[in-house]
Amino acid sequence: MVLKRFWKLIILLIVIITILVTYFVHTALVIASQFPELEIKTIRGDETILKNMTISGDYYEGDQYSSALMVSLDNTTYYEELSYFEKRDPRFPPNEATELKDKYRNFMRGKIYQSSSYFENDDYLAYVGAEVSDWTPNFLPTYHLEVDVLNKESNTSTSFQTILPGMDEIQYVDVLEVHMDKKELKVIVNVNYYLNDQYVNDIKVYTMDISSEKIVGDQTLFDPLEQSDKDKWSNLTFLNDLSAIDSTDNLLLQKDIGQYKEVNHSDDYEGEISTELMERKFYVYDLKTNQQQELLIPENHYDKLLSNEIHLDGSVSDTHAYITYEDGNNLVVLSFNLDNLEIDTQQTFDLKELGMEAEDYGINLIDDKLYVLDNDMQKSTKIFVGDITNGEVLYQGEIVLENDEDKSGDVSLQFYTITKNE
Amino acid sequence: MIEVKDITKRFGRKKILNGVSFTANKGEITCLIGINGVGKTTILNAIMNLTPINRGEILIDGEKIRKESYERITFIPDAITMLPSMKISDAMQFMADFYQSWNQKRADEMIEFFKLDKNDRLSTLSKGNSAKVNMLLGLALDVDYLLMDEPFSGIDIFSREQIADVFTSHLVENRSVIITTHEISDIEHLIDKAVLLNDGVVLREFNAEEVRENEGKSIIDVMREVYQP
Amino acid sequence: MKNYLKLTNFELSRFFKLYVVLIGLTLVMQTVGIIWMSNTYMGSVEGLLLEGNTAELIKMNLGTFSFSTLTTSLLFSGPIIICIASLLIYVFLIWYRDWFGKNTFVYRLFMLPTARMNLFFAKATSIFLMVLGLVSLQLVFILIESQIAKLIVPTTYMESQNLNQIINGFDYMRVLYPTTLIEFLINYGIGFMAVFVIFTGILFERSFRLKGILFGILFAGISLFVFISPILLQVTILEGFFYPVELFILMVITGLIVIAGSVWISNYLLNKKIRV
Repeated sequence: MVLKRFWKLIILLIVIITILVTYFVHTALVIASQFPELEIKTIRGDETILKNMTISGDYYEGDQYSSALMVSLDNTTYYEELSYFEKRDPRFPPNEATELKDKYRNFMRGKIYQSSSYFENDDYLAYVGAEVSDWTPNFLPTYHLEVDVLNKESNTSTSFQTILPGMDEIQYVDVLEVHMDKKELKVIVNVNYYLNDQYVNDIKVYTMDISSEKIVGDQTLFDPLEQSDKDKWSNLTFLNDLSAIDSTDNLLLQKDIGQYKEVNHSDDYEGEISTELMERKFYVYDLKTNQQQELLIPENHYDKLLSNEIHLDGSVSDTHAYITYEDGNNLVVLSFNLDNLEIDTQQTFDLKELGMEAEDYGINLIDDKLYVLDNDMQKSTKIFVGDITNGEVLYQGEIVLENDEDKSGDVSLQFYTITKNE
Repeated sequence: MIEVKDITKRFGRKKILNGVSFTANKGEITCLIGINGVGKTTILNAIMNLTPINRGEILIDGEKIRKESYERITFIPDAITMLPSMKISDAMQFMADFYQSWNQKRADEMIEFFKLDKNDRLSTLSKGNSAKVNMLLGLALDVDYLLMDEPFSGIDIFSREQIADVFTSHLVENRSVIITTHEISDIEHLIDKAVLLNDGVVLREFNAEEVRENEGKSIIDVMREVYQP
Repeated sequence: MKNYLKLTNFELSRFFKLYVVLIGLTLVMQTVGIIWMSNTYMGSVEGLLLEGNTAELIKMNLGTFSFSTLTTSLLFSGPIIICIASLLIYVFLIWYRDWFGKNTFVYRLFMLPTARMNLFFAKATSIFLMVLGLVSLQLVFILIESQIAKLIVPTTYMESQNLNQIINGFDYMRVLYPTTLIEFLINYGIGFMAVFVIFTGILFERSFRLKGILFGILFAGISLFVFISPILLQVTILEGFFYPVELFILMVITGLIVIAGSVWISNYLLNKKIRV
């Protein structure tokens, strides 16, 4: 009787529940098996060297599905497989800044999750973020620095805002590094603006006094007028690792100087302007002493450094600065002793011999070790770890699909970086 | 007893009702009389909480209307209140579904009395039959109070007679009825109490019997006095 | 409770014929679409085969047959749009049809010996059920249609796609068919909250007529403001203070506040202010 009376309601309910439950069960199963498991296959060496390391990149299947992913020795995590709430996290793969959020939940509220904006030691966690507070009538952002320092012991924080002194009409600001020493905070900032109609990127070191909440020192590392020269151009590159919270006292900077040249010039049409690189210099800046010194590069490396564009990389520790470049099939790592600024060791890794024949590489220098990934879109990715103190190849491996048979040739992987989980 | 106490109702700036008060006693037929547009229907709507009033109050047996009250009081508007697509039997089933006070036996009896076919669709009914179904749906409820809005308007003479017969039958016995009309000739002899309305106010409320006995006047006589002085 | 179920069933019945027509229209148009499109595709394939091309070459030039050929065509989305539009209109009609039309059914509804809010809930429930019903049946239709395509187009030329790939290949389908239950609840929760707010707006109009339209719009505006207030706070004065999970919880709360407000005001209007 009830069935007969309410049949429309009952049928509709049954249809909805059956179909939707089936759909969500099906979808959950599809999503769970959507992406292949990957494994790091060891070719040579001890795989424990990759313990606590995360390799991140992208996964492509045809042109339909793709997902960011990270691989470690134990598991593979695809962004698309994360839960709804995990996907709301600000970064994938997580970086050191996002990890801080779990530990210092209140302090980390409303902050930019860029590792270079943070400094952490046993006593303090410091943050300096370049934030846009307003827009000028001619659509330029008004930047200020948001400073927040947490005293871990007392669990209190000092926060204040400050403008960038002496700067107006800024186009873009990026915090490159934060460093704290006792009560003094050093902030290295990249400030972009127009000077004499030329776009310049100015690297500045601000010294802040936490107790008085003021900028007490303002140093410009290179004269911006050099960059605004119309005939000669100059470009600054900051080589410290932006994706990690650096603990070193040193900054490594690269300065390129070049000139504009007109090519293909003929009477009929105006030639294109091309640029020619003339000089390339490397500098180390010591945050403790505020001293900037140039690395001494021997003649035989200089030309190769000058002609290398893509594979040039660098990193710096308390005692050494490292510069890598590609020379034919070789990846060369120069290590400079910061006491005398001269090369003390030099290592060469034969990429071809290591099976790395990609167009591009992901190179990471972590704790005296060189981690190299081939960067091409392929079904598998080669990886090797070398010791930069003695040139030894510590590990050689390959990231491959666990069950290769299931997936047809449509799958490709591309990995970019290796990071260390703290 | 239904007590209407000093109710005022405005539509925009216009006052439709302006301090109307009267009572309808148990077991009596009370007739609200007045030309069209004096707010008779509004009063019935207000009693049934189908329109809000601006001032005053209405009590049914001393209480404000609640959802349970609809088992004890019902309203038969001037048109049928069921979906046109329904058959008479569907409409009856709908009533039976929702009202505990629905009396199926009485409904069937009235189908017979009115000579209706349960399988007819409401949309196909003549005006007279439509009015009869409308009556039926209200009268088949075992309620204490019945409100009827112009039950005789616009229907043929035979249907009118049939409906008028209802009032003298057991169908209305022992129930209180409030009825509105602008032509009272059909039911004058049945009315216990008359409430004469004009311009949103009660001009006179009187007991028909008393007036007849004491003053020797019929309701129509009183109406003449009141409306055409 | 019993009366609520009776009323819900009754409300469903009132729209059921049209509802079945909508379902039928969707199935027929989409089926015709997939038959037509797979035949057209196979027509070209056979033409090219006659010219002496190999299957590999044809696949390269013509591409394989993908179900998204159908999902991106008007024969597929047309009926969906018609269904959405019909239900949107019905959100209003479900109330107004009781006032207008030959017989004013609203007299009867308001004189039922049951809480008037049951009417509100019954109408809301039938809208929800009809929406979910169409959404569910469309899933089945996609499966049926892809089977039909497989009958016409040989596997060699068929792009293999599962249900989720079909859904992912089409933007608005992803809103209708999220892959996680939580997103489903969010999307449809917001939709149903909007239905509640619109219902309250309609009751404002039915209570105060012309002036009520203004109240209704005002109520909708306040509801929207309350609902998104956590986001507004987040992007203005708090500057990203809340974590995503907190923001989610806050919006669940503001959503519930909006629903509660809508129910409370509707109850008040239905009992104190409504006019027949």
